[in-house]
Amino acid sequence: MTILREWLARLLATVRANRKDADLEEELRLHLELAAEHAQPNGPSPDDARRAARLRLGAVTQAMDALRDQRGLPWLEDLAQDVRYGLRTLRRSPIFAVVVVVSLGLGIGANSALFSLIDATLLRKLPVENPDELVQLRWKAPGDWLPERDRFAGSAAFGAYGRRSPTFSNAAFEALRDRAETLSEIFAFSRILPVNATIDHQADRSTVQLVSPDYFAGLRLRPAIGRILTSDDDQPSSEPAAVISHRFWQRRFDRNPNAMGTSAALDGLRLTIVGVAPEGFRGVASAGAPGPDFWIPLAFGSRFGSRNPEPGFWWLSIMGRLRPGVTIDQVRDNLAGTFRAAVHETESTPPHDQPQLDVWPARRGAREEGPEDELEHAIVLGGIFGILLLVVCLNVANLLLSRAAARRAEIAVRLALGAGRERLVRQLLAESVTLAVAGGILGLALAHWGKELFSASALVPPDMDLRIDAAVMAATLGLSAFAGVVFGLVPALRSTRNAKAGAIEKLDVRTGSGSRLNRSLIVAQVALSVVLLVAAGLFVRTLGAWSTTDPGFDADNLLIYQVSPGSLGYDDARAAVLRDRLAARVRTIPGVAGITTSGPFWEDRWFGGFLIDGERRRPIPHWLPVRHDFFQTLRVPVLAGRGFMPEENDKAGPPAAMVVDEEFARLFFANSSPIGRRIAFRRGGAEVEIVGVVGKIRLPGTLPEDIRPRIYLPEHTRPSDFDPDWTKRSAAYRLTYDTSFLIRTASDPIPFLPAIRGAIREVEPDLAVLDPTTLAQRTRERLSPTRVASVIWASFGSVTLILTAVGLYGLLAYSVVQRTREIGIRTALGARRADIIRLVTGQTFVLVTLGIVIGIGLSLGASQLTRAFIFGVSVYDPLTLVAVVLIIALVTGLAALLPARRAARVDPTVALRCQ
Amino acid sequence: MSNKGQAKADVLQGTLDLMILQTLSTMGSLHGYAIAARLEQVSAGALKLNMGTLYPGLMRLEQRGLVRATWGVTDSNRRARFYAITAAGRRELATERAEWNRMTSIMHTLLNDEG
Repeated sequence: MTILREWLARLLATVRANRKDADLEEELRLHLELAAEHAQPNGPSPDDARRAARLRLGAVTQAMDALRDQRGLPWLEDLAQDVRYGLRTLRRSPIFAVVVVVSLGLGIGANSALFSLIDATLLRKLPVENPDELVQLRWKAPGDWLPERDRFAGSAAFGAYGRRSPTFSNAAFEALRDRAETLSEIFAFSRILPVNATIDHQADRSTVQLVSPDYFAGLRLRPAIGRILTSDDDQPSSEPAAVISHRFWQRRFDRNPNAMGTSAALDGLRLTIVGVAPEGFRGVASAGAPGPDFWIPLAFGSRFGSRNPEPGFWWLSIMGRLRPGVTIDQVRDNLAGTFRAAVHETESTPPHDQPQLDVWPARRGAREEGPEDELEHAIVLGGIFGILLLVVCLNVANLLLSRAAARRAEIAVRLALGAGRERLVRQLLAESVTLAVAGGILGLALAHWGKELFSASALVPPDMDLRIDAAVMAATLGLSAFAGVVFGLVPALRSTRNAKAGAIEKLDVRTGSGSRLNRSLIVAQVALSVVLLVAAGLFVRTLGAWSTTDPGFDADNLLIYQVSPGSLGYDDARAAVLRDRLAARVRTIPGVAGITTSGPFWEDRWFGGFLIDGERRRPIPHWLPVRHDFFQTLRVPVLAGRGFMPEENDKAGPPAAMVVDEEFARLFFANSSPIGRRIAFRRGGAEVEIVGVVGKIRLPGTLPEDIRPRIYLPEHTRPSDFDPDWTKRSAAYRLTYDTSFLIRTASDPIPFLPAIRGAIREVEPDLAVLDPTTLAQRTRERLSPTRVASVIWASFGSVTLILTAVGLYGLLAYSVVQRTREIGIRTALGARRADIIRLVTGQTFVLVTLGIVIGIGLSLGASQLTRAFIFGVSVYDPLTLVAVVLIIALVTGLAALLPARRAARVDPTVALRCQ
Repeated sequence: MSNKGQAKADVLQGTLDLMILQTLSTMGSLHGYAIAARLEQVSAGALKLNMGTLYPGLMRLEQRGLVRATWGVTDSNRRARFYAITAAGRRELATERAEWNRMTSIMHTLLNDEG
């Protein structure tokens, strides 16, 4: 206790010196005076007085030292002094300090932000009890076998490992569940499905997941409020019940507990909300995927909307919990036979292509892809970070080394004046650790910003929990301090050792392998900068290209939304009646200037091939059924012929007339007018006459090579009009078509939304307004990944470029200091300034050129990766390439020129004398 | 700070604190020189404290809250820093004195048994 108080007092005394030295000295002086009087009551003899004064001086100095040590904490004072000294030195070379802090900050920040992303998508375990016990059942087949009812579902992946799939049929699930002795729990769930959710007379787009009754119990989840689903809910006779996600509860009910017992309709199925899932639980999909709003029992699958597949369909994912002590292999042995039997019950399999049960750990959630892929992701991402941080550290070490070399003279002087080597090393370390910690703090700020950027982007689901928690922060700061010590120690030890020996000439002039490493590093960094900056440049050009692209129709004050009556059980005829009633009702809203409808406006559907004069033609066009006033309302110009007539709208049966766009006319009727020509959609099928040609429409996010010719058909047209088998095929998946409403308003359309929703509610309360948007908004959304990607790539590219420049500068500055003597001799022998500059930068030119060539090669090779984000610009865009090369040449040239100029200024007499 | 000086001071440290506290306890408020003089006097000149030991010792006791220091004026009208024992100091003194007595009696018994 008292000891603690002493340390506290000493700590305080260190921070604010509360007893001044003068104060201490006064006390000591009095002591001496009194002692002297005591010894010589009659005054001292002159000799004695001199001797006493000398002794006194020594005694006071000694006592003062002891008192100062006792007063504060000497090592802390030294440290504070070192840091202050370091800051003072850094203030004298602010560019050096800023460059080091910024490059460290960028390196660390980028790493932390991406770590938070990896953590959220790849590393975090499911927020349930004992997630390590969870396993996912899957199957694999050596060939490309698929169950009959999965052939078009696309959940099975075919790759180097053969066929793999996470989905099972209901029958297979029931068989596995009854035999799973090795699992304490086993439960199944569907994919997350979009639905119309009507709550309190308001219909919205929402998502639902069908789950087996043991789902929540199997995960050992307790409800936030209300109750979870149980097997009682899974009887066909039971009252339909749903559990909602915590996020949905918050968003839709503002966390009101009265939400329990509320009635909701999902695609027309009435049910009662009975509970809320715990906060943070977003389903068992891997951490990066969004969770559903509703969980409802599997038993209601058959009564539920249109999107539930037919019996026998392979659509359920299965997870289980290992019994204590059971291994994954034991689960596989336990269930392999049951799975085989279940497959043979309903499917036919060739002998050489037998599907086998596969069991995977699922502590991080159920996944579509394999653990191998997961590991690959982690290794690749981890590798990138490691390399980035290594580059940062090496570069900064290089920079510090060149700086330390430049300060040799100063260090030598200080050593000669008696400064301890230990203290000098400590001082240099304090400087580098100060830099590192400043870099770390900047890094955290940047990481936070990067995290916001990720969250704001469409790259991650909106409810994904990205966090830079205490652990990440501590790791970041610890890492930076550690990096500071590591990259500060070598230069510090080296410079003090050499200087102390007094043998400056013996400083090892060539560090062969080290500089080869440095040189390869420069080449690699230049190449990396090229790749990243080219990608960033292409993204920026894409954004530019899009903001100037003409969509081909008047998008001002145009609101577009979808409705999905088919999912509420409407057939085509009733859906057409509903559509017209909705349009008539919405048209009465004041400020609505025009309204038209079409098939799914944003989707590029095509029906299949077509024939002109009995000849099959390519490419396959897009086709869109539209109301007669579609072209007028959207102000798409009719270039030749006519648009549709009102009477062509509702005529049942195969259409008689169609309209094509100018692209179609250009491709297929280059030399003649398409008007009056006839087209068939199948051989021998009914022919349709082209009655008009309209302008091109270009939707946001379409690649130039994906712009296809378009065919417009009257709104009632269905594929079944041309293909008798279509109805049968689509019935297996209960395909229905959404209808797009396109509404022209007198002013900004978004404020009209509530009135429009109200009008629709009057006509059909369960019908949700899907994705209401404007073209500008849609373009923004579609380009948001591009925008984010361009920011990310540009930041990484700039970071790498800065680091490259820093590394180059450090390398050259160091070599100039090392070669001062050589440069001096050359100058003395008649070398001109230009020769010296060439001597120093010649190698750089080779390195940078090599890096640029490799980088351009790589970015052309990797263009497939970036293609998905790039529209309207060629991936071989020469402007981007030239700009990137110029930027890199400029920055690296600058980094090389600074040390070169210093070299050229070397005075031969000074250089020769000093060494 | 040299290690040798530290070691020498350590030998004295435990007893120095006790001696100072006892002196202040019996004599009341004293300045540094008076403490040294008093200790020299009671030890019949055997105990000569130098300033480098006494004043850091006093500072340590002050930092631990066992003594309190105030500037005052001596009989000869000179400014001096007077040290007085605090309540915490008295408690510490009682504890340490008991410990000291226990230790010395053990040592006494041990040494005399052997002899």
